[in-house]
Amino acid sequence: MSDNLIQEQIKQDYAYGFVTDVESVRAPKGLNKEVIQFISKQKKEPQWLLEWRLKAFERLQSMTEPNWQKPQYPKIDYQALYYYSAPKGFKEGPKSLDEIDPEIKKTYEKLGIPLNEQKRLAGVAVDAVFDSVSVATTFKKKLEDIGIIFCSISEAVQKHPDLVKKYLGSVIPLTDHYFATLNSAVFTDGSFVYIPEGVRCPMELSTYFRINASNTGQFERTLIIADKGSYVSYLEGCTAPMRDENQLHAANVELVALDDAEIKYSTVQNWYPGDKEGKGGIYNFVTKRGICKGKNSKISWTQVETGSAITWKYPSCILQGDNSSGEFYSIAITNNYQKADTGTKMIHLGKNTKSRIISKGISAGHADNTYRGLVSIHSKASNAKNYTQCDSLLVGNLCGAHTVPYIDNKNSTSTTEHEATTSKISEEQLFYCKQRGLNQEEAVSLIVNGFCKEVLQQLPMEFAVEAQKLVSISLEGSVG
Amino acid sequence: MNTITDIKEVSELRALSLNLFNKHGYPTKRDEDWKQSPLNNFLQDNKQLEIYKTNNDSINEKVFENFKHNKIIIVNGLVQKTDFIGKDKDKLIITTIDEYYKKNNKNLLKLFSNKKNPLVTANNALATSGFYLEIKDNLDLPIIIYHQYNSKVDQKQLHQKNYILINKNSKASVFEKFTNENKKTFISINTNIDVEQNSHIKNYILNSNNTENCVYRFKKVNIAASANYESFIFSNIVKTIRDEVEINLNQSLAECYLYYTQFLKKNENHEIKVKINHLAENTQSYQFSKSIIDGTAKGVYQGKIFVDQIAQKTNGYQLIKSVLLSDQCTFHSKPELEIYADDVKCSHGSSSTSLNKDELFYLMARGIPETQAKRLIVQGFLSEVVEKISDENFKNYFLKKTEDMLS
Repeated sequence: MSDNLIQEQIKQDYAYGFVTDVESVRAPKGLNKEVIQFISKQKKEPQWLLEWRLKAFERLQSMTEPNWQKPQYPKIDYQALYYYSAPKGFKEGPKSLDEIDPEIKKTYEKLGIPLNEQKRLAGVAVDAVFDSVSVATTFKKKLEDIGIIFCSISEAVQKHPDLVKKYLGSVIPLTDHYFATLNSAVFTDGSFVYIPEGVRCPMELSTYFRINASNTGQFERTLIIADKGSYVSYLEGCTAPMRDENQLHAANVELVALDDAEIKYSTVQNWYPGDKEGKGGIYNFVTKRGICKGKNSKISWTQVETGSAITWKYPSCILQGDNSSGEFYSIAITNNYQKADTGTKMIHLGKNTKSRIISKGISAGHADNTYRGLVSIHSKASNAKNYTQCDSLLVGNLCGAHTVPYIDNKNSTSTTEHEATTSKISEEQLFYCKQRGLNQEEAVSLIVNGFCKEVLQQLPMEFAVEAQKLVSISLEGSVG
Repeated sequence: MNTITDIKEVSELRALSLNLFNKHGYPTKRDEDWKQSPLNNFLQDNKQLEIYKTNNDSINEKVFENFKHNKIIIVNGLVQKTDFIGKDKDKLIITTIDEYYKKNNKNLLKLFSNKKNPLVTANNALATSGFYLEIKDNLDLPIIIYHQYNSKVDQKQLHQKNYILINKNSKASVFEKFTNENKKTFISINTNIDVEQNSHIKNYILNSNNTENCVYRFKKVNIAASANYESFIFSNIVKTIRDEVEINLNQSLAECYLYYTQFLKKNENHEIKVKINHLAENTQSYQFSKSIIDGTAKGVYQGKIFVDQIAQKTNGYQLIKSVLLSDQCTFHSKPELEIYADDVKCSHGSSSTSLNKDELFYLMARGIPETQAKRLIVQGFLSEVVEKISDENFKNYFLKKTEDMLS
């Protein structure tokens, strides 16, 4: 590719970088007991949840941030952040879509979120989270009819306290690690999904996250419970405006799959990645963990990570039930000064458990892309099987691609397989495509999409198109 | 006894290293590089071992190999006897490490450069023995270094620091045979190897420590242009061993090949740590390890390939395979890649499984009893690595060893 064309493409701008002018209610700046009490009060939470939050806060005092990760970042001043920010006039939450601030509606329209049911993409129920609170959940009625609960977690705390109390923190304990504990103390909103026994959720459930206000951290908490024999597919997308400062996003996502249940969780993450010099952007420090509690259960994570200044997350599966299986499909694309340290953990506890990891890392510009993963087969996990494949593609000689897998096998009847390769786009492939009349851009896009295909085809239809486009946009410009 | 204290620069460097070590202390599982290390427990339980100072200790001649070779016999870290045959005599220099320090104090900084690894800093500070070996030309016959550690080192710690220099355009096969006959001992051997332009060294190692002790072997290898380093480590009877090697491929066309086979039984522990730094264009590295693990044994493999931004056209290959035979054995592997250059081919693979049931069935269906069939499969599995050895004589030697070990 000619240098000019590369330069031109690299300059691709972040399309979701607008700021929405909405007045917001904020908690006082800083992190202390009062702020936590303020958040809890705003949300009219029961006493047990406040106590739970305070317990997490107390624990946080004796914890330190982990520092083993590859991407280093300047120290975060937790006292300079706002931990709660809600669009003004939002104390109660809108009862119907008409009550939503037109500005927010416009924002979501720009993002292409089908908030308006009439104009919706067929069959996607959306919960939209703006800064810290959930602004609307569509299709609620239809889902309620078959017993599915899909609402914001604040609402679930009010309406289904038993479920929340039983499962909140059951997968990611309060004391897990610094950012998970921070989230437990100050989480503001997020989605809650409960699929009752034997129900196959008829549509894709989806959440769209957006950070709008400046100096705000977004700490959402998502909890998905799939009861016996149920199935759900859940999608998550994210964007944020362009700001010079780094914004922190520390979410916790917990998945629980009981006997014969299946959860499919897909993410297309396109937070603001910072500008070409690496200024600004989101710190995406997310804890995602699922537990296959019951027999024959299955959890599948699919992620397309194209945004964020730093992506640091390991969607994991605890395979506790016998015959349960976990899957992890990931594409991580880093460009300019973006950094990603992502991967998964597969903890095999039950018999005949299976896991499969496919990770594709692509780095361009000055970016650093790390796959870090753990496959741990415990001594009682007889006949467990794991297959891991992580491939990296390097574009240009200023970026880095790293692989750090940990494989622990304590059971002699189990099998682990791991393979990884690192390479660049081969000249032969490019030449072949170009000879057949494709231009450089199309050729690169074709090759990269082929490289990512195994992961892309795991995405639900609604996301696959968007993701494919994102992959092309993020990469076309930087391949030479 | 050989003390090195009379050289000022050395004692200064030692003091510095001791400071570094005291600051860190013995490694624990909180240190990333030592997370799974079987050495941790031993060291934490035996912090106060007295340091052994080498004397004129007697040689055990029973372990000598019966083919024609150059001999260097090192007892408890000190060179006791050498026997070089024919013209090879003039192509070698061997002295104690302090003799070397006296003559070449410019090179000292390099030998004491490691500041991060706590056990290497301990070695730098506490080494009481060691040798310097220089190879000046193509050797006709292989050298066998007999490392013998006898019961005089019981319940003590011994630190040994060696330096091997392979001059330009030289070739040598160096076989190191370790025999340990002591209890509750910590032996730390730190060897620097410089392979100069266009030289080739084949370094084969046989571990057999039939006693309750703990060995840490750290090698740092610098490889220059068109030079080549091949190493094979065969572990048969070990108690607790960590074999660590750091290789710098400093100039273009430098190559290294590392092969390992281990057969761990009972409560044996063997850890391998490899770090390969590709620092120049057109360099190549190859790692191949196979382990059989039985009993309550623990195998660990940590391998890292680092490719610098300028090291284009690098080839890095890593394959780690293990077979677990019992319910209580464990295998940990961490095959790591850190790559900053785009025109490279790097790959790694790691697998751990049980014995292949189809293969077992095939053999048993042909009338071979189960135990013998298993032995055959294990032998075949390990031999695949041994077959890679480029020195024909040693390949046959180790193939025989593999067979003997299993019968």
